[in-house]
Amino acid sequence: MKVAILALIFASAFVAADLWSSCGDSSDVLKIGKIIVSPNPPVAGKPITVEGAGLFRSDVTSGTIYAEVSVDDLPLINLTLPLCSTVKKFRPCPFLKGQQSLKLAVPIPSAVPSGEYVAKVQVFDQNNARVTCVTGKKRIFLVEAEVWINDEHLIFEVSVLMSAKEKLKMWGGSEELPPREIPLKRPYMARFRSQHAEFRIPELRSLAQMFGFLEHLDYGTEQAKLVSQRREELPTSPYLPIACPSQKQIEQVASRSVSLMSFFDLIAVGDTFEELLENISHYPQDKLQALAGNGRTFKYHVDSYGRKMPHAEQLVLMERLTNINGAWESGNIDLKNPQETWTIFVDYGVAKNRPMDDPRRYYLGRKICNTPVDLIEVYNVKKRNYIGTTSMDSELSLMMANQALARSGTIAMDPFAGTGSLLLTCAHFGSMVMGSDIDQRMFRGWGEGKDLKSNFKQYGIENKYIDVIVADNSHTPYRTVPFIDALVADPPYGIRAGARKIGKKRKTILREQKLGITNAHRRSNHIIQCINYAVSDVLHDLLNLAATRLVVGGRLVYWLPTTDQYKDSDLPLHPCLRIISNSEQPLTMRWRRRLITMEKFTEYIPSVHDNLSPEEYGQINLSDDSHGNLKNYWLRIGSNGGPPKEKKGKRKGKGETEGETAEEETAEGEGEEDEEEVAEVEGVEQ
Amino acid sequence: MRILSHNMLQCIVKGCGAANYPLRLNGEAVHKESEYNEDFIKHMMSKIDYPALYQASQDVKIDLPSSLPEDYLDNEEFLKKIHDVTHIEEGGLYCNNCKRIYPIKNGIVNMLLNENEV
Repeated sequence: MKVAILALIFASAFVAADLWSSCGDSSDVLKIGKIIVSPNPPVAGKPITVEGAGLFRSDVTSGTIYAEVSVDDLPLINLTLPLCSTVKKFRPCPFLKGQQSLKLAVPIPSAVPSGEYVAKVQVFDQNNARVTCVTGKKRIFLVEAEVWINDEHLIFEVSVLMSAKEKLKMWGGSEELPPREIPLKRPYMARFRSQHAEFRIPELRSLAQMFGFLEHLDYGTEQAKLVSQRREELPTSPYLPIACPSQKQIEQVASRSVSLMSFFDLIAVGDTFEELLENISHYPQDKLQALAGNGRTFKYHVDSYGRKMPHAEQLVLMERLTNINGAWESGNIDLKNPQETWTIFVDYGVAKNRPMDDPRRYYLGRKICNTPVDLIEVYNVKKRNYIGTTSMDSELSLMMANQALARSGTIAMDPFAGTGSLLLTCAHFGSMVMGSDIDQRMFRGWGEGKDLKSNFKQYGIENKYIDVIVADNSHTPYRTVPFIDALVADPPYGIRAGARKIGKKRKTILREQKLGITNAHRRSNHIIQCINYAVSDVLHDLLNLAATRLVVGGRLVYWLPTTDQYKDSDLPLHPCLRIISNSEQPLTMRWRRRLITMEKFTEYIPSVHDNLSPEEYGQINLSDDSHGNLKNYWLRIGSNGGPPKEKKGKRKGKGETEGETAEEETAEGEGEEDEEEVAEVEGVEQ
Repeated sequence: MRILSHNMLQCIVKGCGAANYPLRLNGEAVHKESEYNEDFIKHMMSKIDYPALYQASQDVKIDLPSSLPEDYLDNEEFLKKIHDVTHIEEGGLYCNNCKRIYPIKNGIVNMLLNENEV
């Protein structure tokens, strides 16, 4: 992307026209001389040419450009750029003492969104002496620029900010005044936890959406690269430079996230430590002084990824950081209760499961806030009052609640509630919760004080509990109106926990026909019969529940078991739901599960969406090994694939975990019981 | 079971028809104190079918206004009343249309069908 903001900025650093006025004083290094602008005033569709000459009073060998641009009094850009690397494409440093002449052409497109652009640019040299200060004010739009210097024609390409087209798109494609919220973004460093890498971004995005700044959150994009001085995002790294408008938003996200550990003010980035140190000097020094110096207490911390940095090396980094500029010299070190924690991030990366010897990148950050990762321990399943065999791990439950946008004033529901693990974390974040399950023994547990409700009491969130209802997901009893804000589910797929729904077994039907029984269900001790609930039906019913009962904007967050043969086309779809995220958690060599987040984006219209065939839904293919018939797949190939084995109990391959063995046993057990199994659900007297 | 939950449930017997909502309520209302959650109740009010709630309140002899007060979102007294509208510990929901009974035991309603009803 080529945008002329920088061209203007650069031009303005050396050229002053009547577009521009000086905000500097006589002590500035550059004395601005003659300026000619044509046409004057600028005309839409015709390039403006600016010719100018200035006198450098001393040599400028390096320095920094600070630029602020606002539109209609709203801040748009706040840039700090190294002088030499910004200008080296057409004019290498140094700028020697004496006269320098410049010529600049800025094409003005015929379609310009109007707006009063105010730019203020200051340039400082290697000694932090101001070279120049100019402000420009014009109804103008900033586009690609071509720059001539001393008759050399060079294209000025800088990949920053947005292209004109994107700007127009952002402003709704109209040529009218842009909406007034174009926030100034600040650079931050998101320090993730090392676990569950695939779940990081979905959680961050969900929280940004919940707190209303998703459209202003940048990571891995041009804006965020600008933040990290145009560096690519590193794969697998738990360090992610992001940009967003305010620290308050950072704190809001930090109050909820469990995949994050902390947030930092991002001070500087460098591919080598030397470069990091150089870039620190480009950070506004007065700001740095205020935070580091003035008798404030601080400590340094070295955070490395990929391998542990030896203590001696850490000390060298700290030493060099202290010496680089005076900022930290006047502060006091306090290791116990520092006012500021300055963290040097060292990213060694991971290559072929071995750490690399040289770090890929360094960052310097100032810690702002921590996240409530202690919640993972608070909700630890091991410490819970009442759990079942498939209670969800607390960390994943918390992430699900975040992705489900659980918050005060919303209703969350789990149609396969079991012991209520997923509901607890939603309730923790303020949602009112309802659950249903086909097996009421799950709710009742071991009786008063050892049941589902007692878990809510344990965590002091009893007032968030609405009700649990004994119900079959294939015949959901909820009124067909949108009233649920979040559906969270870990559906039974017949691998670890058998999936059952109500129905009459074939054998029973035959026996009743033979004996002429017609009223078996009326007996007082009658036990409701259950049959297997095929995975494709579980998914179909779940998506249907989401489509019909979720409010528009509500979310469905559920686990989908898959194999290593998973393809994106295996995902069940519904015309009212769109996929927000899809993150994989590896379980074994062969088995995966995916956390799928969907959003209901349009109303369910019965005349359109009722009676859709499975093909029209998307694809829920019964014969598909990915999830169509997992149990059979399991029985056929075992957990690690290969040809089917004849002897039972010998399927366990090398290197499998204990958990997996347990799963396997469960699966086998179910395979044997098949249709002979006695119905699981308690009888209902009538 | 909260009486508010009753508002979200319908009869699911196959062939019960369009008159499967609201269900009637049978049982004794038990008052349970719970912390007033204004966000929730205001949110809930936008989803609630008031005539169904009123009928349920009549069934278990709770005093509610027969129609939704116009200023209900600002009427804290009314909202608190709805919020506290009580629980049914033992009893049942029954469908006026097909006469199916869904029992409530220990405060949990059982909405399961019999295999011959699906």
